Amino acid sequence: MDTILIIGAGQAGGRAAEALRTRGFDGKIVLIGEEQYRPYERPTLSKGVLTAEKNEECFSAWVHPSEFYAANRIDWIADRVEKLDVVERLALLESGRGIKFDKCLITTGGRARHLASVPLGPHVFTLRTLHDAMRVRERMRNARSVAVIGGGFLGLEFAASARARAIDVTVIESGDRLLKRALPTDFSDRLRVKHEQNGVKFVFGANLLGADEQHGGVKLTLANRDVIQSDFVVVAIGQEPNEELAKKSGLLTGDGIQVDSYCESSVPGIYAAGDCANFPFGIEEKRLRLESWQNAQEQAIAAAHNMLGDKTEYQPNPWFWTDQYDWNVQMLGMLDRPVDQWIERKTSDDKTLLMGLQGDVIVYALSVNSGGDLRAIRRLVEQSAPIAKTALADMNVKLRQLEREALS
Amino acid sequence: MTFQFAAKFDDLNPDEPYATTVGSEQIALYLVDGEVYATHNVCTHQFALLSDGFLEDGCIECPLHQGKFDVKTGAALCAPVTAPVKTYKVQVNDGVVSVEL
Repeated sequence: MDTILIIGAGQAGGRAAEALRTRGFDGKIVLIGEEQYRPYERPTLSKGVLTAEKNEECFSAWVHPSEFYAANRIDWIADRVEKLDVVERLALLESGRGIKFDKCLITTGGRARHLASVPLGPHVFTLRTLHDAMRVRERMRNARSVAVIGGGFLGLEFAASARARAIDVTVIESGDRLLKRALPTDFSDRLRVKHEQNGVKFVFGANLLGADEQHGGVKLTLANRDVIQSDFVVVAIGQEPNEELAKKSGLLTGDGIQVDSYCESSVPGIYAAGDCANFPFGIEEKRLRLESWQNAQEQAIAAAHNMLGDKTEYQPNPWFWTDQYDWNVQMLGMLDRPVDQWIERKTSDDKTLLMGLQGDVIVYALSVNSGGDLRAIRRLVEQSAPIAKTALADMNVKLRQLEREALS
Repeated sequence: MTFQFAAKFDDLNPDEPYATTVGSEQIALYLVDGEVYATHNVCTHQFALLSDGFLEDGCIECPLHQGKFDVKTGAALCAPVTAPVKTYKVQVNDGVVSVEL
């Protein structure tokens, strides 16, 4: 009987294990994770987990109910792989156990990046795991102020959660605007304004020199001599892919574990998926990692299918969401493609659909509280279908109707 | 349990769910292949109105995170939704749609 080893028991690892069984794989599945928790999804860690009233009710985003693993003969083990011998097909665990395998999927994800000048401590946190989130949640009780280092999606979601708990927030961002690579400039500004309207203070172009933990608080010093004093600090400056085990084992790495469009690494029979996987994306086959719920979900399923003999290329249409205050913001496509023209279908400041076109094709779309509309144009973006621009801009024309006409 | 007025059949559109309140319940009505179905209008994953979502092939996608439900059975079909949404019996008589509460 074959054994498939999955290293990393996060959302990707959990989904892959499920996909193997759903596809009819009847062999042994071993799912190894460093965290004490069974597979769970991370999006609520910066939102609901921090803002929920009661500790007992603050988290429920498990990928599967606890009975799922035993019921599906998935051997979930809380342990760490110390050594992965890809030739002998043997994994050595920290506990001393050895696991022989036929194929392996690495879904080790990433870890929060640290800032050398602001080391972690009783008042300085990163936010990646459920354990982190519970500690931050606890620190938020009775805190009156927080400094957030990093104005990316995580930092901004955390800022919104902190404001919901009436904590003063200062976001310190090294760039000159928010989410430079992910958002069009105009929307970047709208997002900043939304936060400012909710009381968040921003420092842009910041160069952090150091941190001083004293008297139950943190004093941050910037290169321009400015000082920011707060009760605690959250460092949200991105993630480092957990590629070290793969690298040590002889797999090709570099901004993640390098895989092909079938999710297979440089070593046959060893695959990778999720936050840790670097794969060729788009027509230009540009190598990148996608750090999203959708990628953890879909790349893991694609890898599982390919491990069972499918030859299906993973060609995602990136879709991402962020919830901040009363805004559900969704993005379709990426801004690596040049946009000639922006068309907006705006209902109000809090409800709009912004589309970036290249010629007659929508290459990027961003919605605020208009998920249904974004979904209505999704196929147009996925299929690069030319669209009648005047009709697109006309809010009297229904998007479903437009989509139907464009695809017929 | 009684059937209560929900909408006029002619107000329904196969492309768009119809949101209404019947009694004190927020209901979404769906017109699929000429038949009318009804579910509770609030997503079981996070607060969002399913009627703001995307209806296709008898499935409603929540506008927030695109979790899918079967409008006929209420079953949660794809992540991130896992809990089914409540469905209601529907009657259509003389152009009037009623929902059983």
